[in-house]
Amino acid sequence: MMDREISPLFDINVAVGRWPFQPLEPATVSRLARHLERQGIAWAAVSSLDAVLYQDPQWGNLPLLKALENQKSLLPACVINPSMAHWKESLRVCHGKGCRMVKLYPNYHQYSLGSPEVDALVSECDERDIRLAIAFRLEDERAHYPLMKVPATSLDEIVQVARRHPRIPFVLLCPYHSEVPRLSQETQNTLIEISHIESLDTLSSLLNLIPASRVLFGSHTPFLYTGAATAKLKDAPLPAIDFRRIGHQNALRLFRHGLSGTFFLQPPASSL
Amino acid sequence: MRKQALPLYPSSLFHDSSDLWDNGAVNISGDIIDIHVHPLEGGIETIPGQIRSFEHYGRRTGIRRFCLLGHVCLAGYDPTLSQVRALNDQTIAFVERRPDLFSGFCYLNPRHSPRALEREFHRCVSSGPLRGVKLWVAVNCTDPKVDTVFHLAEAASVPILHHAWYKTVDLAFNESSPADIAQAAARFPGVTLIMAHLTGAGVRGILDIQPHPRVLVDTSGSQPANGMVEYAVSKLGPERLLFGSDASGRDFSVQIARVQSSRISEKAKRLILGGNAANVLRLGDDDG
Repeated sequence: MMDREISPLFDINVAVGRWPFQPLEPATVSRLARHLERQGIAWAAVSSLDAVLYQDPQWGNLPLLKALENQKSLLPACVINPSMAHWKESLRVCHGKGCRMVKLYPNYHQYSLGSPEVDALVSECDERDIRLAIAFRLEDERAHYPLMKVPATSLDEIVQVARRHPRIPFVLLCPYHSEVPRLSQETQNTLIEISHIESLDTLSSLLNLIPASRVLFGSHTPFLYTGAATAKLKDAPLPAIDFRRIGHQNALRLFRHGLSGTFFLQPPASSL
Repeated sequence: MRKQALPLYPSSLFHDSSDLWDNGAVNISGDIIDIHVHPLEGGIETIPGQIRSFEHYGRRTGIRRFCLLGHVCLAGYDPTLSQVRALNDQTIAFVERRPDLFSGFCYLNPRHSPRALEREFHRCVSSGPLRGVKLWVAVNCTDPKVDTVFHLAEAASVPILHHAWYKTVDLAFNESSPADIAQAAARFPGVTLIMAHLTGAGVRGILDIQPHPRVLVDTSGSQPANGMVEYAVSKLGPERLLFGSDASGRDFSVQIARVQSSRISEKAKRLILGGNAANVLRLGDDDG
């Protein structure tokens, strides 16, 4: 059970579904919810893994939205491919069914973050009050299936899109430690999650590069052991205020208190 | 006839205890031995401060013994004799100052002459306090140049900890793969080989070493990829896994959490986190 002082947690980087190269657990929404609760994770932004590789991401998004209808602590995040002709309609439908965050995978979907469609998507999400996340990667590049090697999303393009839209907060998923300095120095509106950040004294080292106000707790469940991410928080010699910021406050602030609809902010009683 | 819903996918194919996902992982506390550690910084003059740091990490994480492999990255892929000696001097200094806290392996470059290798091995292991050999990327382990090192290790009954990785990106110098490790194990069945980097080896690498009972694998390095510890236990048995962190490049707590979070038995975790290393390092009651 998570120590009280750093729980409850908001996990910004969780997915559920199928991946072609290995079976990943937890494999269902109900198992995922139980698993996250045991880890002291009171809220999570959850997307469909299937949606990344399906030709139409909606084949993954829509079943997930349905499965999350009764999961009050799991926030739906939808995968949108702005290079596809129906991205606006997909976004409209997902928003109508409760989506609060859009995840972009420019590397898996082979478009540039510099394209006009991305700018249009950013504006559309802003109008709909939907948060935006951009994934650097899903797996360690050294371990990709040899017939499907996918380079990481361009750090240059991420910096440029953030600078073109300075009022929009961009959540960056799965950055490496080495990618943080440029994000910290060249942008003000990016937040990074910690799933792929690791060094000796991970968080102390990270906070020398970027302030705690721009750091989010993320586990990259189910690709990585959830407990490895919570260990980064649990053993870090940081002030309690930084634990709370990273653990849940930054994420809650990102999604703004008092949201109506399907997203409830009260954690399950058993996780407190 | 009522149709039965199919599971989302057959997770039992991946590891044998998929039901444990419903029951939660069991964390254990207790003596942990880290078989794969690099010093925090270079230079013998930094040792007193480093010892205090290691004591601090030990108290925080439960690691009671750190097995030092030398700061191999500092000397580059193909270190000179003097660089190897300096690196081993530091490891020896740690072990001699705090034999209760540190074990150490002798780093060797098989590109050096057999006589030079023998001299350094005898200095560090036969006549010195170190308990094994570390090999990195200077030579691929299928290269006959490694034979001298393997013969020395076999004669002294000490393990060799050998870097290996399966990569779909460029290899580092003469980097070995798990298949290479398996080849070396077949040529030297009497040597205890610790293949480094479980996640780097992956499914294929675990299967490569499975037929060779004296090849173990350490859990160090790379991201804590879900399911890999479980898979290795199911194919190799918990006796063949050793906890390693690859600190100071990695975080002790995160790497321990890789094992603690895995859906294996408490007994298996105890073996992986310390029991197996104690056997490999031949730690007695007076070793701490």
